[in-house]
Amino acid sequence: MAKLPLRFSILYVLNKAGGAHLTTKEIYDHLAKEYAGEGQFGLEQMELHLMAIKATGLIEGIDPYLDEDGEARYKYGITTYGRSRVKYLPKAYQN
Amino acid sequence: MADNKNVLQVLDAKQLRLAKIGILTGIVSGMLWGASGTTLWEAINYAPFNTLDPSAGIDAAILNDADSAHLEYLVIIFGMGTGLALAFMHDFFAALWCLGFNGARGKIREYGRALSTTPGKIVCLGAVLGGPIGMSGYLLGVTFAGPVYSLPITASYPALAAVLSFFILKERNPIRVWIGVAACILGAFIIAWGDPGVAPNFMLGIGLSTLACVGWACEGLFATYGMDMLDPDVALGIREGFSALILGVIVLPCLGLYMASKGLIGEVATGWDQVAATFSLLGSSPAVWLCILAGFFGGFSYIAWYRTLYTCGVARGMAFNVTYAFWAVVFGALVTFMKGDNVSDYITPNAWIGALCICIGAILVSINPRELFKLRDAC
Repeated sequence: MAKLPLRFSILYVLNKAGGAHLTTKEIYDHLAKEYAGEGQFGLEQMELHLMAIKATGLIEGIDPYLDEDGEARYKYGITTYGRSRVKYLPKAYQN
Repeated sequence: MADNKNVLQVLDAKQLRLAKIGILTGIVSGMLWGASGTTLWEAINYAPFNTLDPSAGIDAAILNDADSAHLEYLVIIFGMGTGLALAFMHDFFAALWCLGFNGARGKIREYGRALSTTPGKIVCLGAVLGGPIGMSGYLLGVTFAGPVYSLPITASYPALAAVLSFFILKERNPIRVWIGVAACILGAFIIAWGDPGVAPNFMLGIGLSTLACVGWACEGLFATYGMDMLDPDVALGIREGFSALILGVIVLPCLGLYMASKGLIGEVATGWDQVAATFSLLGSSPAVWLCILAGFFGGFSYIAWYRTLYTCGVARGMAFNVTYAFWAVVFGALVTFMKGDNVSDYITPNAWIGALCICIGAILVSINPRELFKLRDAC
């Protein structure tokens, strides 16, 4: 299957997780195999993408925690509004 | 419990930092767009845009023989060609700068991926509305109706965008933001308002300026919608490249076809003639270097603007962008001063009052970054 734009993939991972909320590291690990080696892919860039998507309302942040490096982060999950945009993912990625 | 409160405070500060960066990029976008306009305006002073060479301007024999009405018509056609050629070169060089920027950040492969998606295509639609329709309408509006009437109309696009974003994207804006947007637009009106002068084709110019206003307002809306799911830097790279493509492959040739149908080829240079002449004068005229510089300012202005659109929302992003009218006054004064001319001869009191009005508007829009944590009712 053709690779998706990174933000599409983030939405795909969170949609696939159902109602579960994932940490930044968990989302990063899900996508690491696919995007490894690309200059745009890193844990900090991932956090920036997540915060930006959160501001649009496609995803939400709950359960704030400190990660192993002492960085404050949210756990992220897809919102109802975000699910309404899943229609833009290719058919194979919609479930 | 106390630990959880501390973590929340840290995250709040992080989100606030992101919102403040959005405000900063908004201010930078207006500043760079002002610099881009000033640079393009300077390019017009050099060959081939100031020349009467038959290969790039208006044929000298025609200039001597033609009756005044026909000559006026030729000048308008030449002006249209110049405007569209500059719009094409601006977007072309901006696209190259964006490509370099995204390449350095490892995002080149995202171009193809984004283009295969619906949001990517929505960004392309925004590119057509903002580039060929918005930019061409703006430049042709200035040519036909004069800057006095066309600039205030085109500068009204944030108001239209704010209204559209309220209804379509469900963006929430307090009354203070609406007053700020209105102040920015009023400032642009004041700057442009002065001696009306004589406009060669007034109603056509007003129509084209209105079209530009609608095009730019819709571009912001489409871009914001598309960028919810796309990297804004990549979206911008697509926007500039697609806009240059449409201008170069459709709009400029259409002008050439129109000129051919009127038998004007040979009397006056087409838009593509002017583009070709600009590149052929690489060593002898600074015009092409000024276009490259304008593309640099314009490209990074758009990168900053698209970032602001998704971090601050459409209404605020546009209010920041329209501060280009203020920066154009500042840079115009700077260039005038550097040339050794008297600044007060070129920059009117209206310009300074309007610029102050825009500053107040931008401050009203940006005064509380915490409002940017949640942009939409749908969130």
